[in-house]
Amino acid sequence: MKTDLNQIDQKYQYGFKDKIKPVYTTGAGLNENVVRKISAEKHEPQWMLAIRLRAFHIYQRMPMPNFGPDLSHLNLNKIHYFQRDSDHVSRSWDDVPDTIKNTFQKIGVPQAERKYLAGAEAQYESEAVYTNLKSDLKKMGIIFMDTDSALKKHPDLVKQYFGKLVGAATNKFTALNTAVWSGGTFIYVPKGVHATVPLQSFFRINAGNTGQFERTLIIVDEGASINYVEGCTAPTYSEDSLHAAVVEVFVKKDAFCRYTTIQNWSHNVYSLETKRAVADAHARMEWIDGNLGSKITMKYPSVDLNGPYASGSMLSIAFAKHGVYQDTGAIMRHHAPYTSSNVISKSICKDGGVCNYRGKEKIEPNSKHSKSHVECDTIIMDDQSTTDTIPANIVRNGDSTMEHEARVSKISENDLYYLMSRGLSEKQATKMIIMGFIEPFSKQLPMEYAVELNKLIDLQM
Amino acid sequence: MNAQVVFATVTGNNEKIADIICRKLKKLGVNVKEIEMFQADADEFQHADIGVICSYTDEGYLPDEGADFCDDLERLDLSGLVFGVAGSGDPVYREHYNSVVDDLSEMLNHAHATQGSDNVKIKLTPNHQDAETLNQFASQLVKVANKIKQN
Ligand SMILES: Cc1cc2nc3c(=O)[nH]c(=O)nc-3n(C[C@H](O)[C@H](O)[C@H](O)COP(=O)(O)O)c2cc1C
Repeated sequence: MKTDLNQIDQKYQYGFKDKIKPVYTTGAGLNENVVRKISAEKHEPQWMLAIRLRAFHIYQRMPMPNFGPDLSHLNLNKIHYFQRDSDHVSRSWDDVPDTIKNTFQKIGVPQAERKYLAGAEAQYESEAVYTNLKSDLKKMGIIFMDTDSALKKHPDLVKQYFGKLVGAATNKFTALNTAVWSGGTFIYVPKGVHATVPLQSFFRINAGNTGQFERTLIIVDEGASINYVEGCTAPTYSEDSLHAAVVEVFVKKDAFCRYTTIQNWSHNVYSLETKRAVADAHARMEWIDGNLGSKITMKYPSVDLNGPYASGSMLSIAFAKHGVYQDTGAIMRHHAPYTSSNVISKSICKDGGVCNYRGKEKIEPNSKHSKSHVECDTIIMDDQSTTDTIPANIVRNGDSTMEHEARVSKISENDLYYLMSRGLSEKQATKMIIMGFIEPFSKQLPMEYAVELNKLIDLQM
Repeated sequence: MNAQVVFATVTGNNEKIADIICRKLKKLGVNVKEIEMFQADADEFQHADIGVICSYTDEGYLPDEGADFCDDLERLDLSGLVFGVAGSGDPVYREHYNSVVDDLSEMLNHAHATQGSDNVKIKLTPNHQDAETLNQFASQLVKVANKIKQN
């Protein structure tokens, strides 16, 4: 026990910034010309430019969200909408620029994991600078690359699925993402293929004021399965930065997808993401989502349960300390009979942080014999912090069940007293209780992420 | 042929628009169901041949009471549906003048519905000329829906 606590006592070394000059940038602000330039620079097909331009016009028209956190300090005219620091996507580890390798070293990616990363993708600035499709993935026919490359190599697949779940007019930020997207991950798992290792991607925002507009598209074909993991860490800098990603996941009949995210943006980042998945008959979609940093996070991953016996789940933690506003939740929609959904949301707020759960579960009239369960659990560590649960539960037939539980508690005096009587300091005891609280979440993570999560929580305590 | 006409209103202008459209559709022999947005279920568009939405704009936003309806709209596959969108707004809201009309038609396009008639934007209360535009709007929807049915 002691050594564990010592380990997590070491401070996490995330607050640094590499000196990389973007090779190509469109400057600050957005207009139609910037959108055209982005597309031209990427040598995109005409149809993608058309999608971007249409989205740009929707973006101009749409107002900012009118619920949740205050976004009035987000100056969209100051953001750089496109830049890249590497002219081509590297083929092998040797080709990866040294500065970028140094970044991984500084994040403290262990040697073993760097090897692991050799089979994955590293997102740096707006585009993947490193892509190395592991040969066994290739043999299985799995396509795993950044979305820009996918557009070049598999235009038909991209065209078939791009924007089909998340429309440009969904909200202002999906319109923005559709207009200026760059990078993100593309995965296609063919019928019946099981990806045995988790596929990983590492993201960072580096230069201050870099807009990050990843577009991720995952298609898990019938009877296939995949476990995708992404981790985000951002160095600390002063100007506001926006991360407005869009993720679309298609889980076909009898398929399985688990999508894990750990987000630890620095405290100036607006993380406004839209993640949607659709699960066909007997398919299962799992979101695992940890939101530890940023200034403001607005993220409500959803699953549309479209076929009989489809199931969806969301397991999330949110951590908010001073100056952090986490507005997160899950959306589950049951459109077919015998579908089930499960949401477990855990949050911790401290020193004036705000954690809200904003979710929606809807069981349609034709979705007979369906089940939905939601559990929101919050630890509020002091009187300055606030939390709110804003659920919307709609059941439109008599054969289905919906349960919603919400708990808000402080750290239990009894537990603290007990642990301190065992010789722990109050700080150590508190940490242990928090670790125990998030365990149902951390235990679902790959080991190195669980270790990283412990370090992150430690840093924030 | 079945049509579902959904409207959102505060002061009644958009209801008037919906009424004009309904009257014309009925004249053309269509079975019409008229319903307020806060009570409407987007799924019902899946069972209709024609779907019409008439909505006001609230400082650029969709009507609050329609949030649920609109959210669902986007996620459905409405490939069999012919739709039209109309609205009453006020030009003093400049770039937001009837902007929700464009948003809704965008969402319906995204849901793979077929746009049967151009968006109609009306200034405040519909006058005689507007009523004529709305009649043509309704006829056009029926024409397109018939064409689709024949194929
Ligand atoms: C608070 C408020 C906000 C409004 N915002 C808009 C707007 O953004 N765009 C617009 O075209 N009209 C706007 N209007 C004007 C109304 O849409 C217009 O009066 C419309 O005819 C009302 O329709 P209704 O009678 O069906 O409620 C607004 C009116 C009010 C009172």
